[in-house]
Amino acid sequence: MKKNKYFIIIIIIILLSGLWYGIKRTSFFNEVIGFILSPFWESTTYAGSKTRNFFQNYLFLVNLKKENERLKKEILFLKSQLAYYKEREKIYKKLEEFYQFSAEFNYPKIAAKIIYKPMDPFSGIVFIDKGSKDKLLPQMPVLAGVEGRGVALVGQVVEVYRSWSKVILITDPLFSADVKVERTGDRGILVGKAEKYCNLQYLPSTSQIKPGDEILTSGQDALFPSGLLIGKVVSVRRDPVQGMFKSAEVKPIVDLYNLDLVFVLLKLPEIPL
Amino acid sequence: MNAKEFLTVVLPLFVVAFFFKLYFSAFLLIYPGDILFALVLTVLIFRNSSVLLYTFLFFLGLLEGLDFLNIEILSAIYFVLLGILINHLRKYLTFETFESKILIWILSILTFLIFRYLVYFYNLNAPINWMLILNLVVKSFYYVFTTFIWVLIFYKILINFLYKRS
Repeated sequence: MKKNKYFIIIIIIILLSGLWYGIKRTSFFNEVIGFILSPFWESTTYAGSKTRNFFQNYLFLVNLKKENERLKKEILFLKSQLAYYKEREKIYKKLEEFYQFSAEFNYPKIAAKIIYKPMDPFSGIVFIDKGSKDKLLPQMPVLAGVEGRGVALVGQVVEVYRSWSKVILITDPLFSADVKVERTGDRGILVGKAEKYCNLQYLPSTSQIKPGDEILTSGQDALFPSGLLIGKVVSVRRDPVQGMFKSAEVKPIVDLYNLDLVFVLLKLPEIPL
Repeated sequence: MNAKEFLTVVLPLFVVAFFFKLYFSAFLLIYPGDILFALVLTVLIFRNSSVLLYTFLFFLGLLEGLDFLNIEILSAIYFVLLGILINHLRKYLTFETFESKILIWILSILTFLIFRYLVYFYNLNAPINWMLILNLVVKSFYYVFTTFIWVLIFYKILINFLYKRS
Protein backbone atom coordinates (compact mmCIF):
# COMPACT_ATOMS: atom_id res chain seq x y z
CA MET A 1 0.00 0.00 0.00
CA LYS A 2 2.81 2.35 0.98
CA LYS A 3 4.77 1.43 -2.15
CA ASN A 4 1.69 2.14 -4.27
CA LYS A 5 1.43 5.58 -2.68
CA TYR A 6 5.03 6.43 -3.62
CA PHE A 7 4.50 5.02 -7.08
CA ILE A 8 1.44 7.24 -7.60
CA ILE A 9 3.33 10.31 -6.34
CA ILE A 10 6.21 9.60 -8.75
CA ILE A 11 3.77 9.13 -11.66
CA ILE A 12 2.04 12.44 -10.79
CA ILE A 13 5.40 14.27 -10.64
CA ILE A 14 6.48 12.81 -13.99
CA LEU A 15 3.11 13.76 -15.58
CA LEU A 16 3.33 17.29 -14.14
CA SER A 17 6.89 17.67 -15.44
CA GLY A 18 5.85 16.45 -18.89
CA LEU A 19 2.89 18.83 -18.92
CA TRP A 20 5.12 21.70 -17.78
CA TYR A 21 7.68 20.92 -20.51
CA GLY A 22 4.90 20.76 -23.10
CA ILE A 23 3.63 24.21 -22.17
CA LYS A 24 6.73 26.13 -21.09
CA ARG A 25 9.54 24.19 -22.85
CA THR A 26 11.61 24.30 -19.67
CA SER A 27 12.41 21.79 -16.96
CA PHE A 28 9.90 21.83 -14.08
CA PHE A 29 12.59 20.79 -11.58
CA ASN A 30 14.98 23.52 -12.68
CA GLU A 31 12.20 26.10 -12.51
CA VAL A 32 11.33 25.15 -8.93
CA ILE A 33 14.92 24.64 -7.76
CA GLY A 34 16.00 27.89 -9.41
CA PHE A 35 13.15 29.82 -7.84
CA ILE A 36 14.07 28.52 -4.39
CA LEU A 37 17.83 28.77 -4.77
CA SER A 38 18.21 32.05 -6.71
CA PRO A 39 18.49 34.21 -3.57
CA PHE A 40 20.90 31.67 -2.06
CA TRP A 41 23.07 31.62 -5.20
CA GLU A 42 23.09 35.38 -5.37
CA SER A 43 23.86 36.00 -1.70
CA THR A 44 26.56 33.32 -1.49
CA THR A 45 28.24 34.46 -4.70
CA TYR A 46 28.05 38.04 -3.42
CA ALA A 47 29.56 37.01 -0.07
CA GLY A 48 32.31 35.04 -1.81
CA SER A 49 33.26 37.83 -4.19
CA LYS A 50 33.12 40.39 -1.39
CA THR A 51 35.47 38.27 0.70
CA ARG A 52 37.82 38.01 -2.27
CA ASN A 53 37.67 41.78 -2.77
CA PHE A 54 38.29 42.26 0.93
CA PHE A 55 41.47 40.21 0.78
CA GLN A 56 42.54 41.93 -2.41
CA ASN A 57 41.67 45.46 -1.36
CA TYR A 58 42.28 45.62 2.35
CA LEU A 59 44.16 42.81 4.01
CA PHE A 60 47.30 42.99 1.90
CA LEU A 61 47.19 46.75 1.79
CA VAL A 62 46.83 47.43 5.48
CA ASN A 63 50.16 48.64 6.75
CA LEU A 64 51.44 46.36 9.45
CA LYS A 65 53.50 49.11 11.04
CA LYS A 66 50.61 50.79 12.75
CA GLU A 67 51.05 54.44 13.53
CA ASN A 68 48.19 54.36 15.96
CA GLU A 69 44.81 52.73 16.37
CA ARG A 70 42.76 55.80 15.68
CA LEU A 71 44.45 56.52 12.36
CA LYS A 72 44.22 52.93 11.29
CA LYS A 73 40.51 52.81 11.98
CA GLU A 74 40.04 56.04 10.10
CA ILE A 75 42.02 54.76 7.12
CA LEU A 76 40.04 51.53 7.06
CA PHE A 77 36.81 53.44 7.24
CA LEU A 78 37.89 55.70 4.38
CA LYS A 79 39.13 52.72 2.39
CA SER A 80 35.85 50.94 2.81
CA GLN A 81 34.06 54.03 1.58
CA LEU A 82 36.50 54.35 -1.30
CA ALA A 83 36.07 50.67 -2.23
CA TYR A 84 32.32 51.14 -2.18
CA TYR A 85 32.52 54.15 -4.51
CA LYS A 86 35.08 52.42 -6.71
CA GLU A 87 32.73 49.49 -7.05
CA ARG A 88 29.90 51.84 -7.99
CA GLU A 89 32.15 53.69 -10.40
CA LYS A 90 33.28 50.42 -11.97
CA ILE A 91 29.67 49.37 -12.63
CA TYR A 92 28.81 52.85 -13.90
CA LYS A 93 31.83 52.88 -16.23
CA LYS A 94 30.99 49.43 -17.52
CA LEU A 95 27.42 50.49 -18.26
CA GLU A 96 28.58 53.76 -19.82
CA GLU A 97 31.17 52.05 -22.01
CA PHE A 98 28.77 49.35 -22.97
CA TYR A 99 26.03 51.69 -24.09
CA GLN A 100 28.56 53.95 -25.79
CA PHE A 101 30.25 51.21 -27.78
CA SER A 102 27.26 49.04 -28.45
CA ALA A 103 25.17 51.77 -30.06
CA GLU A 104 25.97 50.21 -33.43
CA PHE A 105 24.14 47.03 -32.45
CA ASN A 106 20.60 48.05 -33.07
CA TYR A 107 18.96 45.76 -30.53
CA PRO A 108 17.65 46.36 -27.02
CA LYS A 109 20.11 45.34 -24.32
CA ILE A 110 19.62 44.29 -20.77
CA ALA A 111 22.24 44.26 -18.02
CA ALA A 112 22.37 41.08 -15.95
CA LYS A 113 24.31 40.14 -12.86
CA ILE A 114 26.03 36.78 -12.62
CA ILE A 115 24.53 35.02 -9.65
CA TYR A 116 26.46 31.75 -9.80
CA LYS A 117 29.57 30.43 -11.53
CA PRO A 118 29.95 26.66 -11.08
CA MET A 119 33.66 26.83 -12.13
CA ASP A 120 33.41 23.27 -13.42
CA PRO A 121 36.54 21.92 -15.17
CA PHE A 122 34.51 20.28 -17.95
CA SER A 123 32.08 23.06 -18.84
CA GLY A 124 31.71 26.83 -18.91
CA ILE A 125 28.32 27.85 -17.59
CA VAL A 126 27.14 30.84 -15.58
CA PHE A 127 23.74 31.69 -14.13
CA ILE A 128 22.38 35.22 -14.56
CA ASP A 129 19.63 37.00 -12.65
CA LYS A 130 17.40 37.75 -15.65
CA GLY A 131 14.82 35.38 -17.08
CA SER A 132 11.68 35.13 -19.15
CA LYS A 133 10.03 37.92 -17.15
CA ASP A 134 12.74 40.21 -18.59
CA LYS A 135 11.95 38.97 -22.13
CA LEU A 136 15.01 36.76 -22.43
CA LEU A 137 14.92 33.87 -24.88
CA PRO A 138 17.27 30.98 -25.57
CA GLN A 139 20.07 31.66 -28.09
CA MET A 140 20.33 35.37 -27.31
CA PRO A 141 23.93 36.67 -27.37
CA VAL A 142 25.57 37.63 -24.11
CA LEU A 143 28.15 40.44 -24.15
CA ALA A 144 30.53 42.07 -21.71
CA GLY A 145 32.42 45.32 -21.78
CA VAL A 146 36.11 45.39 -22.60
CA GLU A 147 37.98 48.31 -21.10
CA GLY A 148 38.46 50.93 -23.79
CA ARG A 149 37.73 48.42 -26.53
CA GLY A 150 33.97 48.31 -26.67
CA VAL A 151 32.01 45.14 -26.17
CA ALA A 152 32.82 41.51 -26.74
CA LEU A 153 30.83 38.32 -27.07
CA VAL A 154 31.15 36.14 -23.98
CA GLY A 155 28.41 33.58 -24.42
CA GLN A 156 24.88 32.66 -25.31
CA VAL A 157 21.68 32.15 -23.34
CA VAL A 158 20.69 28.49 -23.43
CA GLU A 159 18.02 27.91 -20.81
CA VAL A 160 15.57 30.54 -19.65
CA TYR A 161 13.46 30.29 -16.51
CA ARG A 162 11.19 32.92 -15.03
CA SER A 163 13.73 34.81 -12.94
CA TRP A 164 17.07 33.33 -13.98
CA SER A 165 18.83 31.88 -16.98
CA LYS A 166 21.72 29.63 -17.87
CA VAL A 167 24.40 31.04 -20.14
CA ILE A 168 27.10 29.01 -21.87
CA LEU A 169 30.38 30.87 -22.15
CA ILE A 170 32.38 30.81 -25.36
CA THR A 171 34.70 28.27 -23.74
CA ASP A 172 31.92 25.71 -23.15
CA PRO A 173 32.11 22.59 -25.39
CA LEU A 174 28.52 23.25 -26.54
CA PHE A 175 29.28 26.74 -27.82
CA SER A 176 29.88 27.40 -31.50
CA ALA A 177 29.74 30.53 -33.64
CA ASP A 178 30.45 31.53 -37.21
CA VAL A 179 33.37 33.97 -37.02
CA LYS A 180 35.83 35.81 -39.23
CA VAL A 181 39.39 37.02 -38.90
CA GLU A 182 39.26 40.81 -38.84
CA ARG A 183 42.50 41.38 -40.82
CA THR A 184 42.05 38.79 -43.58
CA GLY A 185 38.29 38.28 -43.60
CA ASP A 186 38.65 34.47 -43.51
CA ARG A 187 35.72 32.69 -41.97
CA GLY A 188 35.73 29.76 -39.59
CA ILE A 189 33.82 28.12 -36.77
CA LEU A 190 34.72 28.96 -33.21
CA VAL A 191 34.07 26.20 -30.67
CA GLY A 192 34.73 25.93 -26.96
CA LYS A 193 36.45 23.00 -25.30
CA ALA A 194 36.30 23.81 -21.56
CA GLU A 195 39.84 25.15 -21.74
CA LYS A 196 41.37 28.61 -21.41
CA TYR A 197 41.40 29.01 -25.19
CA CYS A 198 38.73 28.32 -27.82
CA ASN A 199 39.29 26.46 -31.06
CA LEU A 200 38.88 28.17 -34.43
CA GLN A 201 38.21 25.51 -37.05
CA TYR A 202 37.65 25.18 -40.79
CA LEU A 203 39.79 28.14 -41.80
CA PRO A 204 40.86 27.93 -45.47
CA SER A 205 44.30 26.37 -45.89
CA THR A 206 45.37 29.50 -47.80
CA SER A 207 44.45 31.76 -44.91
CA GLN A 208 47.15 34.23 -43.86
CA ILE A 209 45.94 34.24 -40.26
CA LYS A 210 48.68 34.80 -37.67
CA PRO A 211 48.94 35.14 -33.89
CA GLY A 212 47.59 38.46 -32.66
CA ASP A 213 44.78 38.67 -35.24
CA GLU A 214 41.41 39.64 -33.83
CA ILE A 215 38.40 37.39 -34.23
CA LEU A 216 34.93 38.84 -34.77
CA THR A 217 31.51 37.32 -35.31
CA SER A 218 30.62 37.09 -39.00
CA GLY A 219 26.84 37.35 -38.55
CA GLN A 220 26.36 34.46 -40.99
CA ASP A 221 25.02 32.06 -38.38
CA ALA A 222 21.92 34.24 -37.89
CA LEU A 223 22.48 34.08 -34.12
CA PHE A 224 25.07 36.76 -33.42
CA PRO A 225 25.22 40.18 -35.07
CA SER A 226 28.34 40.68 -37.18
CA GLY A 227 31.34 42.57 -35.86
CA LEU A 228 31.26 41.46 -32.23
CA LEU A 229 34.77 41.09 -30.88
CA ILE A 230 35.55 37.65 -29.41
CA GLY A 231 39.27 37.23 -28.92
CA LYS A 232 42.78 37.13 -30.30
CA VAL A 233 44.60 34.35 -32.11
CA VAL A 234 47.28 32.71 -29.99
CA SER A 235 48.57 30.01 -32.33
CA VAL A 236 47.84 28.64 -35.79
CA ARG A 237 48.34 25.14 -37.17
CA ARG A 238 47.09 22.85 -39.88
CA ASP A 239 43.91 21.06 -38.86
CA PRO A 240 45.04 17.63 -37.61
CA VAL A 241 41.76 15.98 -38.65
CA GLN A 242 41.00 17.68 -41.95
CA GLY A 243 44.26 18.58 -43.70
CA MET A 244 42.69 21.02 -46.13
CA PHE A 245 41.83 23.42 -43.32
CA LYS A 246 43.79 25.44 -40.82
CA SER A 247 42.83 25.76 -37.20
CA ALA A 248 43.81 28.24 -34.51
CA GLU A 249 43.63 28.75 -30.78
CA VAL A 250 41.79 31.89 -29.71
CA LYS A 251 42.16 33.62 -26.37
CA PRO A 252 38.92 35.33 -25.25
CA ILE A 253 39.34 39.09 -25.00
CA VAL A 254 37.28 39.16 -21.80
CA ASP A 255 38.54 37.56 -18.60
CA LEU A 256 35.75 35.01 -18.21
CA TYR A 257 36.75 34.08 -14.67
CA ASN A 258 36.20 37.60 -13.37
CA LEU A 259 32.87 38.30 -15.02
CA ASP A 260 30.31 39.86 -12.73
CA LEU A 261 28.15 41.93 -15.05
CA VAL A 262 27.03 40.95 -18.55
CA PHE A 263 24.63 42.33 -21.13
CA VAL A 264 22.09 40.28 -23.00
CA LEU A 265 21.33 41.45 -26.49
CA LEU A 266 17.58 40.98 -26.95
CA LYS A 267 18.07 39.74 -30.47
CA LEU A 268 15.72 37.10 -31.74
CA PRO A 269 17.45 34.33 -33.66
CA GLU A 270 16.81 34.63 -37.38
CA ILE A 271 16.33 30.89 -37.61
CA PRO A 272 13.49 28.93 -35.94
CA LEU A 273 14.24 27.89 -32.35
CA MET B 1 18.13 6.53 7.27
CA ASN B 2 15.20 7.73 9.30
CA ALA B 3 13.58 11.16 9.30
CA LYS B 4 15.24 12.22 12.55
CA GLU B 5 18.73 11.45 11.25
CA PHE B 6 17.92 13.15 8.02
CA LEU B 7 16.64 16.34 9.63
CA THR B 8 19.24 16.59 12.39
CA VAL B 9 22.39 15.37 10.65
CA VAL B 10 22.24 14.97 6.88
CA LEU B 11 20.13 18.01 5.96
CA PRO B 12 22.19 20.54 7.97
CA LEU B 13 25.38 19.04 6.54
CA PHE B 14 23.91 19.32 3.05
CA VAL B 15 23.10 23.02 3.60
CA VAL B 16 26.65 23.67 4.82
CA ALA B 17 28.13 21.66 1.92
CA PHE B 18 26.00 23.53 -0.61
CA PHE B 19 27.03 26.84 0.91
CA PHE B 20 30.72 25.89 0.67
CA LYS B 21 30.26 24.81 -2.94
CA LEU B 22 28.86 28.22 -3.91
CA TYR B 23 31.07 30.25 -1.62
CA PHE B 24 34.38 28.68 -2.64
CA SER B 25 33.54 29.02 -6.34
CA ALA B 26 32.96 32.75 -5.89
CA PHE B 27 35.75 33.35 -3.39
CA LEU B 28 38.63 31.30 -4.79
CA LEU B 29 37.51 31.39 -8.45
CA ILE B 30 38.63 27.79 -8.82
CA TYR B 31 36.71 24.54 -8.88
CA PRO B 32 36.32 23.47 -5.24
CA GLY B 33 35.75 19.79 -6.06
CA ASP B 34 32.54 17.82 -6.46
CA ILE B 35 31.19 18.57 -2.98
CA LEU B 36 27.66 17.22 -3.50
CA PHE B 37 28.94 13.95 -4.96
CA ALA B 38 31.36 13.63 -2.02
CA LEU B 39 28.42 14.06 0.36
CA VAL B 40 26.49 11.34 -1.48
CA LEU B 41 29.43 8.90 -1.24
CA THR B 42 29.88 9.52 2.47
CA VAL B 43 26.20 9.18 3.35
CA LEU B 44 25.95 5.94 1.33
CA ILE B 45 28.75 4.38 3.37
CA PHE B 46 26.79 4.89 6.60
CA ARG B 47 23.23 4.34 5.53
CA ASN B 48 21.64 2.05 2.95
CA SER B 49 18.11 1.71 1.68
CA SER B 50 15.21 3.93 2.59
CA VAL B 51 12.78 5.98 0.54
CA LEU B 52 14.04 9.15 2.20
CA LEU B 53 17.64 8.35 1.24
CA TYR B 54 16.75 7.69 -2.39
CA THR B 55 14.64 10.86 -2.54
CA PHE B 56 17.60 12.77 -1.13
CA LEU B 57 19.93 11.16 -3.69
CA PHE B 58 17.53 12.06 -6.49
CA PHE B 59 17.37 15.67 -5.31
CA LEU B 60 21.17 15.90 -5.01
CA GLY B 61 21.45 14.46 -8.52
CA LEU B 62 19.17 17.20 -9.82
CA LEU B 63 21.26 19.83 -8.07
CA GLU B 64 24.47 18.29 -9.41
CA GLY B 65 23.07 18.29 -12.94
CA LEU B 66 22.02 21.91 -12.66
CA ASP B 67 25.64 22.97 -13.27
CA PHE B 68 25.46 21.39 -16.74
CA LEU B 69 23.04 21.40 -19.62
CA ASN B 70 20.22 18.88 -19.98
CA ILE B 71 21.69 16.16 -17.77
CA GLU B 72 19.72 16.90 -14.58
CA ILE B 73 17.52 13.78 -14.81
CA LEU B 74 20.46 11.68 -15.97
CA SER B 75 22.61 12.63 -12.99
CA ALA B 76 19.64 12.16 -10.62
CA ILE B 77 19.12 8.64 -11.97
CA TYR B 78 22.88 8.04 -11.71
CA PHE B 79 22.89 8.98 -8.02
CA VAL B 80 19.92 6.73 -7.25
CA LEU B 81 21.49 3.83 -9.17
CA LEU B 82 24.74 4.39 -7.28
CA GLY B 83 22.79 4.13 -4.03
CA ILE B 84 21.19 0.87 -5.15
CA LEU B 85 24.55 -0.51 -6.35
CA ILE B 86 26.41 0.31 -3.13
CA ASN B 87 23.54 -1.16 -1.13
CA HIS B 88 23.78 -4.32 -3.24
CA LEU B 89 27.56 -4.47 -2.78
CA ARG B 90 27.09 -4.70 0.99
CA LYS B 91 26.20 -8.34 0.50
CA TYR B 92 29.59 -9.09 -1.01
CA LEU B 93 31.94 -6.53 0.55
CA THR B 94 32.44 -5.51 4.12
CA PHE B 95 32.53 -1.77 4.66
CA GLU B 96 33.95 -2.11 8.14
CA THR B 97 37.59 -1.49 7.27
CA PHE B 98 38.73 1.95 6.22
CA GLU B 99 40.60 0.47 3.24
CA SER B 100 37.44 -1.01 1.78
CA LYS B 101 35.68 2.32 2.19
CA ILE B 102 38.52 4.10 0.40
CA LEU B 103 38.32 1.53 -2.40
CA ILE B 104 34.59 2.12 -2.87
CA TRP B 105 35.02 5.90 -2.78
CA ILE B 106 37.86 5.97 -5.30
CA LEU B 107 36.05 3.57 -7.64
CA SER B 108 32.85 5.62 -7.38
CA ILE B 109 34.67 8.90 -8.07
CA LEU B 110 36.45 7.38 -11.07
CA THR B 111 33.19 5.96 -12.42
CA PHE B 112 31.47 9.32 -12.08
CA LEU B 113 34.46 10.94 -13.77
CA ILE B 114 33.97 8.55 -16.70
CA PHE B 115 30.28 9.55 -16.81
CA ARG B 116 31.32 13.19 -16.94
CA TYR B 117 33.84 12.45 -19.69
CA LEU B 118 31.10 10.80 -21.73
CA VAL B 119 29.00 13.96 -21.43
CA TYR B 120 32.04 16.13 -22.20
CA PHE B 121 33.12 14.23 -25.32
CA TYR B 122 29.53 13.98 -26.51
CA ASN B 123 29.37 17.80 -26.50
CA LEU B 124 32.91 18.47 -27.70
CA ASN B 125 33.35 19.54 -31.32
CA ALA B 126 37.03 20.45 -31.18
CA PRO B 127 39.75 18.05 -32.35
CA ILE B 128 41.54 16.11 -29.65
CA ASN B 129 45.25 16.81 -29.43
CA TRP B 130 47.97 16.04 -26.90
CA MET B 131 47.62 19.38 -25.14
CA LEU B 132 43.91 18.77 -24.60
CA ILE B 133 44.61 15.26 -23.31
CA LEU B 134 47.31 16.60 -20.97
CA ASN B 135 44.93 19.24 -19.62
CA LEU B 136 42.24 16.59 -19.12
CA VAL B 137 44.68 14.42 -17.19
CA VAL B 138 45.55 17.35 -14.90
CA LYS B 139 41.85 18.23 -14.48
CA SER B 140 40.98 14.59 -13.73
CA PHE B 141 43.69 14.33 -11.09
CA TYR B 142 42.51 17.60 -9.54
CA TYR B 143 38.88 16.45 -9.65
CA VAL B 144 39.60 13.10 -8.00
CA PHE B 145 41.91 14.65 -5.40
CA THR B 146 39.60 17.50 -4.33
CA THR B 147 36.49 15.30 -4.30
CA PHE B 148 38.29 12.68 -2.24
CA ILE B 149 39.40 15.33 0.26
CA TRP B 150 35.75 16.39 0.67
CA VAL B 151 34.75 12.74 1.15
CA LEU B 152 37.26 12.45 3.98
CA ILE B 153 36.03 15.70 5.55
CA PHE B 154 32.39 14.56 5.44
CA TYR B 155 33.40 11.12 6.72
CA LYS B 156 35.15 12.69 9.72
CA ILE B 157 31.99 14.68 10.47
CA LEU B 158 29.42 11.96 9.86
CA ILE B 159 31.29 9.23 11.75
CA ASN B 160 30.55 11.14 14.96
CA PHE B 161 26.82 11.24 14.29
CA LEU B 162 25.88 8.23 12.21
CA TYR B 163 28.38 5.50 13.06
CA LYS B 164 27.37 5.03 16.70
CA ARG B 165 23.72 4.77 15.84
CA SER B 166 24.17 2.21 13.07
